[in-house]
Amino acid sequence: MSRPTSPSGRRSLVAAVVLSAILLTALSVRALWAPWRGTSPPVSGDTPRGAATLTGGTAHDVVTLTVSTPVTGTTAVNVRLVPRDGAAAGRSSPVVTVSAVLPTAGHAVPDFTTAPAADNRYHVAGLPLMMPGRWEFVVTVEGDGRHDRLVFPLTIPR
Amino acid sequence: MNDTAARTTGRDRPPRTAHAFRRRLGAVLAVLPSAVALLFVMGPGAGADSTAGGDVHVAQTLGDRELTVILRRVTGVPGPLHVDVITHAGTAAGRLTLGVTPTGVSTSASAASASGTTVDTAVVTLGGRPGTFSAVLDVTRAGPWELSLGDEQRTATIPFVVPKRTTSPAETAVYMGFGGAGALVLVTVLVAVRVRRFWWTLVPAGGLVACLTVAVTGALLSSRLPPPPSQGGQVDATIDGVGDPYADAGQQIGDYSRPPATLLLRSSTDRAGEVAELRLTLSDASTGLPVDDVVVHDGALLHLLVVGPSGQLRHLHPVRTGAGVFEVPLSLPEEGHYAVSAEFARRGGGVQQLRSATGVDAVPGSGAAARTTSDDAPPQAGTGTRTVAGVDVRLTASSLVAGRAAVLTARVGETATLQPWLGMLGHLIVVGPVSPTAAAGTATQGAQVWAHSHSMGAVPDGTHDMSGMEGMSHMKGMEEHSSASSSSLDMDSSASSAFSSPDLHSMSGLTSVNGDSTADETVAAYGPDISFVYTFPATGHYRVWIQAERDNTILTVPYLLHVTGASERTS
Repeated sequence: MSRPTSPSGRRSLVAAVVLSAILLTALSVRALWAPWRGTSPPVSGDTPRGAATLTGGTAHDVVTLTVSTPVTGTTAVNVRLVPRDGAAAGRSSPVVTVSAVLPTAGHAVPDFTTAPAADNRYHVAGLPLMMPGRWEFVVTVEGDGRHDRLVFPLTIPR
Repeated sequence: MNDTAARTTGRDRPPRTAHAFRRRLGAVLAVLPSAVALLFVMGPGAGADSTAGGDVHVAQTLGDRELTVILRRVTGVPGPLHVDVITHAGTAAGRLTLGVTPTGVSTSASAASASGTTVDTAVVTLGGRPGTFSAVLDVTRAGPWELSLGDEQRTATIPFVVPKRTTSPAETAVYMGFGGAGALVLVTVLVAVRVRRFWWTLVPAGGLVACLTVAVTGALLSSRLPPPPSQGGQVDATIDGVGDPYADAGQQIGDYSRPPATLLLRSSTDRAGEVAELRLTLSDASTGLPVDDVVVHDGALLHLLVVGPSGQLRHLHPVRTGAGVFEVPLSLPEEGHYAVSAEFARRGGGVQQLRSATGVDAVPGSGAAARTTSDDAPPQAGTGTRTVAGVDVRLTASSLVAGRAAVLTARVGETATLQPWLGMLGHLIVVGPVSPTAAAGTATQGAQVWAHSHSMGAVPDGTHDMSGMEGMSHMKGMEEHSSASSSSLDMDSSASSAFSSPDLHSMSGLTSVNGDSTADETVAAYGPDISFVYTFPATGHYRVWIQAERDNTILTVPYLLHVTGASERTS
C-alpha cells in the first residue's frame, strides 16, 4: 500500500489519530473515575456558593429549601413557597417551621419558626447540624386551614 | 475513477485527487471511533426507561374490606402502572377511587414541580364475587410516589418507588473501555500501515492498552463494589437518588437501621357491640417524631394482630392515613379485653413487633349485639381437626417440648388449592404461655410470647426416618399439586432430588428469583399441607392460630397446645 508523501497530509492524519486516541483514552479513564467524584450542588444566582437547594411540593405549594452551608455546624436555611394557585391577595401568611432529623442516629434539632420575608420567602438564621449523615429537613406549613409537612432528605457529607 | 487514475500513473506519485481522498478517508476512519465511543458514553446510563424490581403486594383493611393491592412492575416511564385489587369472600361490592401522586424532592425544580399533586386517577368497581379488579394509572417519572386508595369514608396512601434502570459505574467503565479498545484497534492498524515512522503506532496502541486496562479494572471491580443503598428501602428516596443511585450513594455505611418505635393506640369507642375505629400512631423512640418510613414487609405496611376476649384472632392491615398514622375499624362483638400487637418494618431494616400496652377494653354496650360467649375458643387442648368455614383443618405436631423445634403441620382441606396470602402459604400465630381457662384477651395481653411464623409448604418431620417417608404419609396430596404446577417442576428438580422431598415444589413461584414477581393470590395451586417449625421457648399452654387462604377465604383456625418440658416428656 502506498504511503502519503505529503508532509501536510501526514501531519493531519497523525494529528487526527493522536487526538482520537487521547480522546478515547480520556473518556475511558473518566468512565472509571467519574462515579466516585463528588457531586457539587448547583449554584444559582440567588443562593450562596456551596448551598444545597432542593425542591419539593405539596398540593398547595411548590416548596424550595436552601441550606446555605450543608456541612456540620450551624447553617442558615431559606424556604420559598410558590402557591400552585397563584398568589392570592389578602391571604394571610402561613407559619413555616423548619426542623432537621438524623433518623439513623435518632438526633433531632428543635423546631425553628421561620421569619417571613418578601416574595413568599422564609428564613432561619442558625440551624445546628451536629454530625454528618443523611439528614431529613422537615418543613411544615400551617395556616389557612392547612397543615402540610414535607421532608427533604439531604446528605451532610462532613 | 480514482483507481483508474492511480493505475495510469504507474509507480509515480499518486495524483493529488487520490491522495486527498485517502487523507480524508484516514481522518474519517480515525475520528469515527471517537464518535462511536461517545455513543457508548451516552448509551447505557442515560436510558430513562424500564425499571428493576418486581410487583409490590400490599394488604389493606379498608373499612370492612380486606383487600390485596398489587402494584405491578412499571416497565417504562412515562408509562402505565397496573394496579390489581384482589377481593376475598365476603368483600362488599362498591367503588374505590385510585390516584397516583409523585412525591420526593430534587435539586432540579422542574423535576419536582409536580410533587405533591395527583397526576392521575382511576375508579375501580369491585364486584360482589371475589376476584381481581384492575386499573391503569399513568406514572410520569422515576422516583418516589404515593398510591391513594379511597372508599367513601377514608383514603389510604401507599408509598412506593418507581425505579429506573441504571448501569453501575463499573459496568459503564467496561462498556467504555472495550468500546474504546475496539475502536483503537482499527486506528492502530490504520496508523501502522500509513506512517513511515513506526513509533507513531505507539500512540494509538498506548491508548488501546489504557482502554483495555480501564475495561478489565471495571470488570474486576464490578462484582466487588457494594451496590448503592436501596432508595426507599434503606435510605429516603429522592428523585435524584432514584435517577442515579450511585451518585447519591455517599459514604458507604453498613447499618442503615433506625431506632425502634412506640405505638399509641386510640379507640373511638369502648362499647361492646359497636365497631371501633382504631387509630395507631407510630412515633420514633429517640425523637418522638412521627414514624413515616414504614416499608412494605410481608405483604403489608402494618400487620395488626388482635386477640379478643374469648380467643378470636383478627389479623388486620391498617391503612396509612397520615405521617405515622394508621387506621382500621375493629368490631367489638363482645365485652372484655382485646390484646393488640403490631408488626412493621422501618426503612433501613429490622422488623419490629410492638404490643399495645393498653389494648382495648370493651364495656357492656347498650346494643343487643354484644355477646358474652364465643364459639371461637378452642374446645380443648391439643391438635386435631377443626372445621372453619366449611373446611376441615387437621393439625398434627411432632413433639411439643420447650426448647426443641416443633413441626406443626396443618392439612387445610384436601386439595392442593391453597392460595398464598401475604406472600406465604400459611401463618402461625403463637401467644403464650397462658392459663387455658383465663379469658383469652386478658391472658394474651400479659403473655410473654407473641410469635408469628410462616409456612412455605410442607417440610419433612425431622423426628421420622426420611428414607421410609413415614413422616410424609400425610403429604400425599402433593402429587396433585405437582401436576398442577408441572411447568415449574423442571426448574426445581435438582433441588427436589437433593432433599428427597416432593414438597419443595410447593415453594415454586413464592420466592422471587432474579427479581421476578412472585405468585399472587390468584394462584390456587399449593398445599394442602403447610408446615411450621417453631421452638416454643417455655412450657405451658399456648394459644395458636393457623391462617391460610382457600377459595378466596382467609381461614383462621384456633388451637390450644400444651408444651411440656424435656424432663416431663422423658419421665
